[in-house]
Amino acid sequence: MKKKKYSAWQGFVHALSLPEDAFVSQTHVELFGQKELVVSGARGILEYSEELVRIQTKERGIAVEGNELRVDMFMEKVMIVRGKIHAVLFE
Amino acid sequence: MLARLVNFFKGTVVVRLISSQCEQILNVLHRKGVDFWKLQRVDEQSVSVRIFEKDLSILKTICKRYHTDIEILDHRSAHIVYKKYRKRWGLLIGAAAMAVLMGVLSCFIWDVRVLGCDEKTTESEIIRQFEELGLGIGKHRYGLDVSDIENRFLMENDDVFWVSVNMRFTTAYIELREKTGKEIEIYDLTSPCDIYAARDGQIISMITTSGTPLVNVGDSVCAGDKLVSREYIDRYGESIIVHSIATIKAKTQRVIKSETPLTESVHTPTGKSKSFFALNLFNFKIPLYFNEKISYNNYDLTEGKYILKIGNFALPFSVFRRTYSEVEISNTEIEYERAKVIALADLSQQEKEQLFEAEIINKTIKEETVNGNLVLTAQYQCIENIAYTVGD
Repeated sequence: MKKKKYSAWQGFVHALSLPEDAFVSQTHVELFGQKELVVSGARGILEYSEELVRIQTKERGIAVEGNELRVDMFMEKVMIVRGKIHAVLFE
Repeated sequence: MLARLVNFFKGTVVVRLISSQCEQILNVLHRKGVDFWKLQRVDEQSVSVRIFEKDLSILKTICKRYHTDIEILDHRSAHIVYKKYRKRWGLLIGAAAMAVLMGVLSCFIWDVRVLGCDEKTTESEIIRQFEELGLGIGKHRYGLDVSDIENRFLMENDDVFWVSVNMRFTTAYIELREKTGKEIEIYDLTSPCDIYAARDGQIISMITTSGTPLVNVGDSVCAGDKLVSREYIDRYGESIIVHSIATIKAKTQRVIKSETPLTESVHTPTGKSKSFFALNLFNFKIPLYFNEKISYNNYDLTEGKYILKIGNFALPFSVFRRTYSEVEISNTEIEYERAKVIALADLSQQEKEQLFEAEIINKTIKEETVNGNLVLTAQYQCIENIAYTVGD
């Protein structure tokens, strides 16, 4: 089994039980109901259509499936996707 | 709203990217530090996106490199509006004059509204009283001492126990609460007084806090009898004069009458009506008619006032309308049962007003027809406080 990798800083934060989202730069994904998805730490758009938005983050890609999808904002690594969201997949 | 305003001043452009590799262009754009929003797919080969005006040159360079066509769909910017209207001096002066006028007008009160007004005082009466105190239409709103006006109004009106004046734009909202009759009684212990009977009755309980009781429980008293004397002999045998305080409950008889006519006058509109309009500019009334002569024998009068407003901002322009509608008045008989319902409702209202402090233990209603009127006479047996103070 592949061992889970932690960076030294991540291990230090983990050991001190500090909130990881505040001290480790990780992708932060928030879903507001079925209508809005906020991704902090987005690096780019891999694919965009009204049915599928694929977002590139530091660690992996995120695929958002739905209808009438639109990228409402992409500023300072924060991306907001709005529409009728059916699924969010981590690739 | 604020973001839209900022974007308007910074200038934004909606562009359509016509390419099969739109995503790639958008990623390059992001890496160059260009923010974008409202990304939407237009068709399979193109997307539309909104960017700041200053970033358009960067986008054009990228598109040139990737052999992509771009089309500007919308361009919103403060300087475009400025360029469009800079030579229209009349419009500019008009806008500036309007802004100044609105600024000046906002310093005055152009509408007064009364909230919480019940039956005791009418809305127009309150507006008139406040006008006398210095708060009315056309008054400068910043020069007013509102708390002083509120206090003076309260001192002049015993029926009102709380009042508050709030300004919202050019409208003054007067909110008041009228006394319900159950307010706490404040005794002035420095003024000596006796207690008398307010009405005939038989005393069933008596609590004397101050003064010398002259009657006992079970005694029958008449209205005007002295019940508690101000002269009090203290424990040392000395006579002192006090402010008498007592709660004397007695069994009393009360009668309330309600009269309802068995005929009612019906106003049937003939369809003819005349309206007279008047303009009110800066509190000056300008009639828009020469003479207000009415040829109708019988008419109903309706009045209306329409204040010109921009949102909640009342302007000093209003229109008064007075309409006279001709009617034919005829007397028709009303059903006995319907008259009884009206009379009972009136009786219940009078009961609420007159016996709100009394406990009703028995009630009998007698109905009779007198001179074409239905008369309901209600006799009540109540238990109530009959003490009332009489000072010097």
